[in-house]
Amino acid sequence: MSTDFLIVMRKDLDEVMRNRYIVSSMATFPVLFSIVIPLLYLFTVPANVTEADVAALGNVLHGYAGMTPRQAMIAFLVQSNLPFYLLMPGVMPTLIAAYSIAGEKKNGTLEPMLATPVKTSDILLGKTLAAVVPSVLITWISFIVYMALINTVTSRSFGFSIVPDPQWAVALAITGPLIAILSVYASIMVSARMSDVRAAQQVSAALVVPIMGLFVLQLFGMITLSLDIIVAISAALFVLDIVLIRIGTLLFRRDEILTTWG
Amino acid sequence: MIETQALGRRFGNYTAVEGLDLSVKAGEVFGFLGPNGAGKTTTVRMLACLIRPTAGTARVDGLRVDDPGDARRIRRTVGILTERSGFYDNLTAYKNLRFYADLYRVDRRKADARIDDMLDAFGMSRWKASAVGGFSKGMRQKLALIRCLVHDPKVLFFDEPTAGLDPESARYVRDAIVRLKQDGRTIFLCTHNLDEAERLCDRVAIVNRRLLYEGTPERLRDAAYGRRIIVRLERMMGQVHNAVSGLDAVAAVEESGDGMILEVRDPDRNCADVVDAIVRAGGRIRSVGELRHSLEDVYMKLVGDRCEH
Repeated sequence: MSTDFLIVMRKDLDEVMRNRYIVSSMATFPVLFSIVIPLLYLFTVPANVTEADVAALGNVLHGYAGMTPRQAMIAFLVQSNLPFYLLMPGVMPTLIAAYSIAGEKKNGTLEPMLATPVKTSDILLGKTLAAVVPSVLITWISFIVYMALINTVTSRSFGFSIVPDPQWAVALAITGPLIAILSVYASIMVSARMSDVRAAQQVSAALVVPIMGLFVLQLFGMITLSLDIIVAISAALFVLDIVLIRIGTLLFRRDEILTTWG
Repeated sequence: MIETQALGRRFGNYTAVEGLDLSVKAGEVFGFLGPNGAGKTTTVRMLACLIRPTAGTARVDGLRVDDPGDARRIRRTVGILTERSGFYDNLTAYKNLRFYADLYRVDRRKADARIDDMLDAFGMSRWKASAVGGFSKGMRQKLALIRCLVHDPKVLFFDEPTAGLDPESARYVRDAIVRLKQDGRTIFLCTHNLDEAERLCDRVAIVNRRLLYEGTPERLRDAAYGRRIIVRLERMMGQVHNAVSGLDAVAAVEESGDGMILEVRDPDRNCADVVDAIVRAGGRIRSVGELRHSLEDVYMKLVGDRCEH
């Protein structure tokens, strides 16, 4: 098996790491979702949450039986954060993929690379991994920090760890990487039509809306991200990824890139 | 080394290249001339296996460009200097070159030694660890030349290698092309610079979507203008005009001030007879020389004629 994709991946990562805009944008997500938001939850939920408050949010807070009202409120908010950990692998890869494809197009570096014997499938795989791997790793590391922070603060009063649970495990291990792949191939399709990196990065906006939708629906008790729902979402993403990979592979051919990409 | 047979490429309804038959010998510098939109870059891309032909075929070093297996081997055999130098601006000169050496699967040690040697030969050693983003156009072009040599290719495709360069950098690139020819590499040179083509190329082709002419610059001149001799006399005389007009070797006579421009068939053989006829007719000759047209004149005539048609 060819290992040329590793050469492309290494080069892309080397380049991305020297791009301050991408590095600072990517650093914002873990800080926000792993530290700032959980601290807000932990220290802004008032101590005097009552049964009546919880009863008023009955539909939202079902499933937290046996906890004190304040514990139920904190546990609910902590669980509600799950969509943010789907947002991270959705948004971060577009920053890298749009830069590495629309950027190559803009700088005229695609043609010299395509002139080498490397297969376009290796270029595509290298670029996909360069976008997916760091995004997924940052998401996982962020989750570890989030989990440590939450559990350190709450374990004594709760007597058990709030996270992780099976939903989180499936979401982080399967759903997140599937969203990252979707995000990369959507970026490839957009990048094929435009040379402006920032414009190509706007593809992330299309992913933010449904994921934030999940967050809002969950917050208003209209949906609970149960294990079944997360598995169903993952299955749908898997099918969508296959379709997008096929389209992306068709678009990412030498002839196509040099003759029809704008 | 390079052979094309009825090579063509269409983009939808637009024909970029049509029925191109070329033959480039090993070790030759072959100039590929034509106006903008004549299909030069498309031809180079087809020969370097970047895009596929839609008609005909071509062979590079005996391998077919339209065979997917051969195409990869061709890409390994050729080096291409694209019109835009295209580098990763955040990476150093070394990292850029090393990336391409790795893609060409050049052994690590060999690649490092080769990169060092070439940076040295091109006077770029002290910028090895500098980010390419700060390089001038001339430096980028030198680096692009090194990039296309990093895997030691037999065949080189240069697409407008001196376009936009200052005279010093352009000269450096031209000298490099001469050195590469001396190394025995085959060079396919697309250029707008006819003076450059005349100085560097063993043979040239003039194209405008299809082949208009192919041959040595000398032969092209002959084809466009015939070989002409300019004879300056002390005084133009009617009997001299009559004497040369009657010669079989003279195809055309044109008076020009105190001289005549004669189109002479095979002047190497017949020039002495023509001079003899002038002297016998009483003409007193000041000078005899060959009227040479530049390649630019030839190009303008050929491309202009085709455009008018």
